[in-house]
Amino acid sequence: MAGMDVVSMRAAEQAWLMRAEARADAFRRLLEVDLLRYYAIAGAMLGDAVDAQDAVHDAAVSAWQHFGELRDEARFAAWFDRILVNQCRDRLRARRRHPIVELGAGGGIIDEPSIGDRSTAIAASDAVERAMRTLDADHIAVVVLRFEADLTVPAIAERLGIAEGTVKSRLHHALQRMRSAIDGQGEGR
Amino acid sequence: MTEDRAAATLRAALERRRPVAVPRELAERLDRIPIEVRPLLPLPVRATIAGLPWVVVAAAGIALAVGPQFLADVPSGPGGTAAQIWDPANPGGGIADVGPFGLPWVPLLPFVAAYGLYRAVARARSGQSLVPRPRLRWPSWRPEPRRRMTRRESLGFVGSLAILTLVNSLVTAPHPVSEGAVFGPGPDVSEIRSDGPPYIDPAGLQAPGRGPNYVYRVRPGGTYTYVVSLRNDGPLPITILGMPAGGSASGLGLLRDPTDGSAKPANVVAFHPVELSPGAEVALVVAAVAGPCADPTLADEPPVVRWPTGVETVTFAFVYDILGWRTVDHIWAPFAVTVPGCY
Repeated sequence: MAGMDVVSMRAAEQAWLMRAEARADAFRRLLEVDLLRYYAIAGAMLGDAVDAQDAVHDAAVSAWQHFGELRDEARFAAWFDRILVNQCRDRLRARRRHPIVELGAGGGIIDEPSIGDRSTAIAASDAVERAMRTLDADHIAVVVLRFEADLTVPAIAERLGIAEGTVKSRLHHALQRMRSAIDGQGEGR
Repeated sequence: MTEDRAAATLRAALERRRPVAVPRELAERLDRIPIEVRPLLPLPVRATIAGLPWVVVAAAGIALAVGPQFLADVPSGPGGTAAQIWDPANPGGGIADVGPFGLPWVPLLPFVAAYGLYRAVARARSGQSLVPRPRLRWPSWRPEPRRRMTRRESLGFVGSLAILTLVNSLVTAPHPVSEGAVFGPGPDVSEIRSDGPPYIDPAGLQAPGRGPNYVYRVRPGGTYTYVVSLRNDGPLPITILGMPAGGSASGLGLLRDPTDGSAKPANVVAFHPVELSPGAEVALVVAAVAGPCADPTLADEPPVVRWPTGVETVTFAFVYDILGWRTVDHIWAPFAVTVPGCY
């Protein structure tokens, strides 16, 4: 009788381990499908490769901790997008409060276009990057989800938990700000 | 530059900076997460664990507030037997402490617990630690959006205001204790004059006349008595616990037959806490000891013109318990008590 109990306990333990392993595999598989896209979103929002890696990692930790609450695996991407964007927004806000200033000759983060980048396209890219840094975290999130992740307005609204009208208004406002920033840089050159 | 052009420039710039591959170290870090990080317990379990202590606190608050009403056998009237007959010279009893800080901590407990429960469930939902950590503004304070902070602070302010208003209106505003219809001097009164304090009509602010002035010609250290009746005008039952220490009263008794209105020792029993249901009334006999200033030989003491100067007691403070909150209410008595020599 006791021997049977031990056997059944071992079987239950095996089953539990298999379930846990299957769960971990499912999580890895789902994360891997769009990992490059997640990394690109974090990179576009944060503008820094190391910070982007940390943001994706922290978002993945949070997602794994709450993985049991995800009812439909087909919605993993949208769910993870939301966690990741929140993670990036937190980092951007932290950066605003405690700005990191590189100790270079100029003292600023980006002062001039990279040395050697002479083409107009690259200069425009730098200008866009600088203009993006003038936006706040909420506007950056909308811009990145729209133009980097190529999501529709309703999809962005769902991921950020805001109204579609708010998404449109933020997009409009962000583009206006960026346009004037780019124009201003062009005139100043 | 038009908005479309700005969008195209932005799209092109983002595309140019888009990574072509996920760094290997990131992929490795992500791969280790399911091994190194324990998934959280299901939300209902976490919410229960986080909220249970607050449910216990709320239950304790409710038990403290309501329990004594059911458990303690507080009589609703004077009762008493011949053995409990009161001695005015040695009145004892009836002097009560106000309690810890006079704060309504028992009725507030459920509100505090409700807030704690709300925060605990919010913590559980967001996956934070179930045990709250002290928030330090520096250096590890996690920044939050200004809008969320403002909303939270506004909600906190409105919530606090609502709780304070509720407690105030429930407990304090009705002033549950008020003077009843029975009041008068003890049998040891020497003289009753009609130059007491201005009588204010309870319904308005008229002063149609002056109340009685009970004059007690007693020696220093002598005891004198008078009757005050209390009525519960509030919506909740209260328990009269006595008068606060430090006043002029040396002890309290309970009038056995309020319709008699006489504070003869045979009609008075020793004080014990009395529960007053809404609208109920109880007559208390207050015993006080004359100070060294008392001089019974003074024949012509001044009338009570500079009220309350020269008046021994005009307002009375009583300690009572309402929903587990021990507090004090003051009542104004439409009569004066004068001890010649002590004005």
